[in-house]
Amino acid sequence: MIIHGFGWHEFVFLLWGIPWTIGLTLIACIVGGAIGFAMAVARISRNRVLLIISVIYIQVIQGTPVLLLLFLVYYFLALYGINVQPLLAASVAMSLFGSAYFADIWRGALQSVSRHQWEAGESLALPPATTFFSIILPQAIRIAIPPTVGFIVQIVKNSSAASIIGFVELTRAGQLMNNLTFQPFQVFLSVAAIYFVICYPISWASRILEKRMQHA
Amino acid sequence: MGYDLEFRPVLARSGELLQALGVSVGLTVFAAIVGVALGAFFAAAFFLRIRPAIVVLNIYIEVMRNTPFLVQLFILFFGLPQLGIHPDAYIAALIAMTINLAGYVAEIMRAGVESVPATQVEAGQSLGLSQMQIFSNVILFPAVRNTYPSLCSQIILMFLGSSLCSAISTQELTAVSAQIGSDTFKYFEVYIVVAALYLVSATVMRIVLALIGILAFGRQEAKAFKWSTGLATAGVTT
Repeated sequence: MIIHGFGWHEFVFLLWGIPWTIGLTLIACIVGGAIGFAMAVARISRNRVLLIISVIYIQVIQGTPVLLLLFLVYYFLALYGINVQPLLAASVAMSLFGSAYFADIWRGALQSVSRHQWEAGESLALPPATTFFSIILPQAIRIAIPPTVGFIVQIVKNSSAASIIGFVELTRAGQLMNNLTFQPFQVFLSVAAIYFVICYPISWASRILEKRMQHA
Repeated sequence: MGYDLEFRPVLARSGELLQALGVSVGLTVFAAIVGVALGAFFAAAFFLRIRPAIVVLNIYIEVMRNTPFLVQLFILFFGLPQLGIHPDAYIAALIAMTINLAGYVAEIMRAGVESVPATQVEAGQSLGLSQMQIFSNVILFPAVRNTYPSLCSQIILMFLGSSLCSAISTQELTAVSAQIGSDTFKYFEVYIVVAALYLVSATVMRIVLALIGILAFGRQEAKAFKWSTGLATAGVTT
């Protein structure tokens, strides 16, 4: 076996991990976002059953490490005879993870819209659904954008845990490259730098959006 | 689809699991104490406007907050030996958790320091206190009080994040559960038990931190206590 040094070509190999990290993040945002939205609505509803389900859902997932979510999903799928693709397990686990935090962030945003806005809708004889979608939601979205963008950074970073169940994204690509070059310091520093280049602009955007909110 | 969950082989080894939980909690307590102290120290640098320190700290905070904890662990555990430093798995985990937490705490505390009204600083100045005395006697306490819920959330997140230390063979809860899984082939069962252990421990930790908050800051602050971590994780702490 030829041992390569860690050079330009090896760095380019690492870059191939980026689409998988970003893809996993996007799946978690879309699927997790959809579940999270449903949970956020359930969390502010007056229906006792929905309320309790959403509270338990959010607490349980927020109290479980991402790595454990990944393991649980992976072995759960394996138990039921599904030939487990790491991409599937990672997608499900990261979506669950994202959904609990999205639900919490969006619940906060929905609740921070003044209660008088609901009453205003009622006094205009709007059905509750119309009040929610045309009056409450647009205001809540404005409030929710900065923390939501900030949380995407957490998803990108936590997606690195998927490397442990064998999903080849950026971190796993780093491990593979380390096995090939035996230069862990350069390899993982490069991996960290790539994550930084992905995450920093998102963090920055979140901060700018938040500042703009405060001035508005 | 017939698969019956079999918890007995897992529960037979609950002693090992509890011991490993102790390791996870121990790592977290150490990282929390040192990390919060370091974070407070960094916040002092911001308050005292020590320029070079602020530049370095800003870079440090951004690096900690924008790179995955797992990769930070790998750099410490696999990378350092290449430079001739050989940390063992526990030390690497401790250092990684501490410096990661300190980065977040510094960011939270900076906001906390800014939340203290300027008039209080002026009051301290009019009493002839030095800037350092103003920081430690006037600013620090309300800064910690105002950010206490976010600090608690961050500590809980670090506890959950400590499971990643299993990837560098630190024998904490997740690593031991993987070992039990491979001994008994009851992976799913063991991970259910361990997820429950994390959940219960995180809840107990929250309650303990809330009690500490009540003891330190009085009941008033307990009302502001967050049961969930949502907004704090988003890095938007206000």
